[in-house]
Amino acid sequence: MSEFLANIQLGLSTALSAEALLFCFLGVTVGTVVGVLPGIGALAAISLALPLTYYLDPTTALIMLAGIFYGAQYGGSTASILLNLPGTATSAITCLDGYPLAQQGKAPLALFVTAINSFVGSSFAIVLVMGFAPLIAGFALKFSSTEYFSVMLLGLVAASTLSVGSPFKALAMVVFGIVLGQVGTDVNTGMFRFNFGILELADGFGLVAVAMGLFGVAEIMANVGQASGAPMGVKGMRFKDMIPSRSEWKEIWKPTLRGSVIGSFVGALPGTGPGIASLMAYAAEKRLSRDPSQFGKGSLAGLSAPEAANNASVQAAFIPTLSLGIPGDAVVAVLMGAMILHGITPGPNLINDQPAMFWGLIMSFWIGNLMLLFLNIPLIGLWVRLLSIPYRLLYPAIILFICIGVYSADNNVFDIYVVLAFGLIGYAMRKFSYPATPVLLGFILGPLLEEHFRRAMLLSHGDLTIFLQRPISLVFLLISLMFLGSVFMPGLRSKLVSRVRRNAPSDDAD
Amino acid sequence: MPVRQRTREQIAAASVIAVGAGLSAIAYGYPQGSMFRPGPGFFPFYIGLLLVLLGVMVALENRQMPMDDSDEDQPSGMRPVVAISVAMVVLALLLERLGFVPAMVAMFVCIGFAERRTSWLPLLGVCLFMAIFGTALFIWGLSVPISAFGAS
Repeated sequence: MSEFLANIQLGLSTALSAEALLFCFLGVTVGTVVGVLPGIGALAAISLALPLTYYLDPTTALIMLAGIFYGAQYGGSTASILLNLPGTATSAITCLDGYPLAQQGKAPLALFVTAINSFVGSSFAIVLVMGFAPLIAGFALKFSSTEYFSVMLLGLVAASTLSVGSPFKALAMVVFGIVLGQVGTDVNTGMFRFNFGILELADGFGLVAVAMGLFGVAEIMANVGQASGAPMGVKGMRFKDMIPSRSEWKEIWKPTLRGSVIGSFVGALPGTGPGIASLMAYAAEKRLSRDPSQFGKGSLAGLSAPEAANNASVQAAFIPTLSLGIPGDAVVAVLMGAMILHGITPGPNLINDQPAMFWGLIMSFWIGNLMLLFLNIPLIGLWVRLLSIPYRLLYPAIILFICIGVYSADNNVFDIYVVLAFGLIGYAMRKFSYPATPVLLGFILGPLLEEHFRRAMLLSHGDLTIFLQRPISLVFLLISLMFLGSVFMPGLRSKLVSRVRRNAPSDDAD
Repeated sequence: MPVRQRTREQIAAASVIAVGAGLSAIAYGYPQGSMFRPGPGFFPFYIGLLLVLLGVMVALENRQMPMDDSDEDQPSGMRPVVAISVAMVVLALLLERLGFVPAMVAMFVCIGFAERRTSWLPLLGVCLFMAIFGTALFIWGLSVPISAFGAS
């Protein structure tokens, strides 16, 4: 216990330094802004900010980048509630009940409730991170390359089979990502692979360029020319209108807690992100509700549970990342890439070798979430006004930011062409609903997967059955097999999806 | 000519298969090594084959999927995609030759063609703002080695 308190104290001393506080605030503010503005996600924002953090101390850099990540989850609900803009899977669920509430003139209430939900969901998950990450890391210290290979495989399989949509497309995209990760120099032999005689590819594709192409540029290409809604008039938002009444409090507290639990659990699984967490929380809440017909018509329970769940999942995603080095979703994968660029390898040794970084980051989550509560309740009017900037004026600036951002990572215009190429690939993938998240996970985990495979083969003298002989590895492989098997028994997943779809806004038109 | 959705989906699956097959073929030319010491071509070769297999699975799945055979509703079509691509290429070509400001102005002009009806005046405003703000942020603030005007 005293050790635990000492760790917390160490974390607080890191997170409360003036520099850390400043960059934490910067991070959550940028996160809120990109979350509110439709069309730029946390992923593009983190990739953009990544080159800027090269000059910072790695802990401070991580605190800021993580702040963008969870800050965006707070902001995301604003656009969903006021504009009915289902930009991401997460915000699509918030739209279901958030927008009807806004139409009933209860936008201030809905915004207040989502801020509270987000805070509760995050707090719940941070406690879990504090408890579980060190435990899992301690357990994982015994891992050899064999176990690492298997757990990474599990992460990749889970990420693609648990997603919404075709699991085969998702699996194919994981593999495509692994292929992209192989471009460049083979670390063991120094041989060039798949570089097609292009010298710039000797180091492989840059993480920032791939991420910004697939998520930033592709998204803009898909969004331009789409009709955008005008924000609901929320002039003169008064604090009085925001506070829920006693009966409304009663309506939200249980769904919020249930959402936090579901979100934390889903988020802690390697490879599953906030989208699936909100979906599951919404489905569960609807099933538990005494009056499911209210869902989709402005139910506070239907708003609260997914909001709490997506924030909880975002924080809980740090459990596998910080303890095993397996990112929970694409955004955490980029964060992990950022750590690697800063010379820190996420994994079980991180907590022991860099306690100040680990505990400082965790403590900064608390501080950041408190800042976000302040940013999202008293200052909400500011963000609402931000929504009135039309997208057609916003996106040229975003493209410019992306181009100069990737250029500055290496001072090479070649990276601008790489971003464009991945933007076009990402656009085509979107059109045919091939998910982009697995590509990024495969891209980041692929090289590690190959490295551990080769090392495991070396240790076992080329005996493939080593993966089955070691019990922990066997368990991971069996779980992966279960996920793969679930693909052919599409019971649970399709049930989940159809349940929410039945409730989608377009179906409610009649 | 409108192409049916199922056909387009199958073309997409076919390109996944083609990419996988191509990569495997290239990787086959790399040293394969042995099971004891896998070479640089070992992993990529099987990964390529896996991609082929998954592409086939997607194609099989497409056959069973109910699809609406009407042409997809695409109001904007390829116009934004082409305009944005050209804009980015123009920026990349001019950035180191003419400097940040001329390159970004050229980029904004190209982007203006992304939509059929562009209100140029507000776009000009954003362009001016970004010229000043971008120069301050990137060149003075972050010392990205490009000049505002002129070759770098």
